[in-house]
Amino acid sequence: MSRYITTFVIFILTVSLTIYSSIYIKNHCKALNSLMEEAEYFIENSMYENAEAAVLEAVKTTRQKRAVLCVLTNHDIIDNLSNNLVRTLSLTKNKEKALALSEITVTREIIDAIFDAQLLTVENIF
Amino acid sequence: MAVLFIRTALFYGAIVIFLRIMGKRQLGELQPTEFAVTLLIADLAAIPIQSGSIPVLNGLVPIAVLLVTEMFLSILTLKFRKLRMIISGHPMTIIKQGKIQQDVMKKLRFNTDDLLEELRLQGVSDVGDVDYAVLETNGKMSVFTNDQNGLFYSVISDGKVDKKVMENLNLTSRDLLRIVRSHGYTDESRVFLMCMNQQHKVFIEGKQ
Repeated sequence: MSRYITTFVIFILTVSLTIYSSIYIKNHCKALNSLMEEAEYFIENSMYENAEAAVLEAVKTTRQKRAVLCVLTNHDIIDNLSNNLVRTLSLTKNKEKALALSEITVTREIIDAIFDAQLLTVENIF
Repeated sequence: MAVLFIRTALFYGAIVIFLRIMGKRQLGELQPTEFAVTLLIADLAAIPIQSGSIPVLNGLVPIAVLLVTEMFLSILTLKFRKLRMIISGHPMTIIKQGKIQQDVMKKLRFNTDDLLEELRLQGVSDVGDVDYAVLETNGKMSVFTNDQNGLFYSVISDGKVDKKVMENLNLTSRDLLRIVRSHGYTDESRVFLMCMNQQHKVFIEGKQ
């Protein structure tokens, strides 16, 4: 009987962890995406200080949550994301409009890929 | 390198714990489902151990899911005989009352060399000495020689009667009920296990 109880506890823990990790990653991606949208808008309108603040916020949030994100998902993807955010910040600081915008596009692609990987879709299952 | 050391130790511990939870059966003769689980566990553990960029959870969660699935399936197969037959298959009698069942051997793709080898492994040198040889669901062969009681079939398992076995033993429902009642049980549903051989020698155990 204790064996069944242990299995049931493991089942509950696994399901909870899976749901928690999915929600955690999705929330982080949503927050980053909206910050990137903001930064994109500010750069397009040459408001570099505001754009820098938005990107900096994204860098800080990712650094804060990095430990948890690395436990929940592939380290390489998180490293890529962090590198792209830092590069975007640097380009925004130097007011390199075209490069910063293209870097934001790449970063948003990475964020979308992380978000999509959490979805329960036929594409992801197979 | 220290990370690899800790990861390996972590997976070793986790797998030992999971296998213990699955039960001793896992460590002995494997059923098809158990074999699949064992293979998958080994593979799932190897990837996160080798690659530092993959989180440990990516290995532990699928292993935990396999454990839960295996336990769930074992509960179901314990309750439902038909499911047990589908998943684990059923024992096949290769030698019945001293006669080799060639159609069964063909079905199992079991050649005469395999048969002789299995008999030798069981300490039997002469096929003529064998009364019954049964290929069990775990791939092992059980051999009963002429001097033994022959093969016992499970007529009632967990209160459910196996009609095919009854036919095989030339046993009618009336005979069965009589035997069950003679052992102090009201009907078949009160019996946990009843086994019988061709000579109608009975082993019976009631439900607790």
